[in-house]
Amino acid sequence: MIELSAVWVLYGFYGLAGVLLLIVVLQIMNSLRHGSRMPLNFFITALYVVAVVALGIVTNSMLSTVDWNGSFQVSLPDAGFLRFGL
Amino acid sequence: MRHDIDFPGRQADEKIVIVLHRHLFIFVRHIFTLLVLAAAPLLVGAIWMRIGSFELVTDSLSHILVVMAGSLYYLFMLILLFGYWLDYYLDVFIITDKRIVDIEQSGLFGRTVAEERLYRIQDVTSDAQGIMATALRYGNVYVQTAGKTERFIFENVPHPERVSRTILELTDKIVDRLEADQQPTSSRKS
Repeated sequence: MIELSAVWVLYGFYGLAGVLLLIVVLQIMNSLRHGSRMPLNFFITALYVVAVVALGIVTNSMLSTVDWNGSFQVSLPDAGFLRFGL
Repeated sequence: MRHDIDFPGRQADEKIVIVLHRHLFIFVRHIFTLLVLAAAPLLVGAIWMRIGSFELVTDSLSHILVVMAGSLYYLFMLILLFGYWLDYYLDVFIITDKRIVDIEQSGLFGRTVAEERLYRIQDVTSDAQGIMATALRYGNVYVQTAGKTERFIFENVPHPERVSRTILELTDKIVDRLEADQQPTSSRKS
């Protein structure tokens, strides 16, 4: 049994989400740089931004009741099979 | 075929004849794949909850991890979808009355702009491979040139045979005009 701090789970999530959001920002910059004069591309880019923001809002609302100062008790699986009968 | 596009190095008197993107089916095919991938975890989760009588307790670690993993997964799906869109929409093949321009977007930062004067074109071939390509009338156009980029390939463009015919007609016009311009000069020399 180990104790896992809730805030570290959140930091891990922020780290992964941060990498993906960086790709999102780069994609938007790329799109606006090369396709800003194309109205359809501009519209799709705006739609993309709305979708990403909406996903963020939904995720935030689903995790809003979590107490991030607490911790979780995680029971590790029995790894006895690794001893190979010794 | 849209003509309201601008591209790097466009001359003031240059007239755009055709602007081509890949056939819409290529993009729709990617959307379909992503829809299946987006529905898969929901389906697996629903089956798992029903068969395995698995229940997510609100604010438990498993609930938090499922929400976070789901959020990252769907963000990744959105990134893929937009990436496919950029690849579809920012890849442009432009045929003007003076040259052909092939703008290729690859990845986040890769962008190649290849162009060739029409009078350097030696051969134009088109093909449509497969059932969908034949049914929806899209395919590849291969332009053989005498320039640095020996072969231009316009991949999966709509009506490839019409495109190749247009390129050949424009090339013929340019070559005829060049020959007509050169004739008085050569007759003066002789």
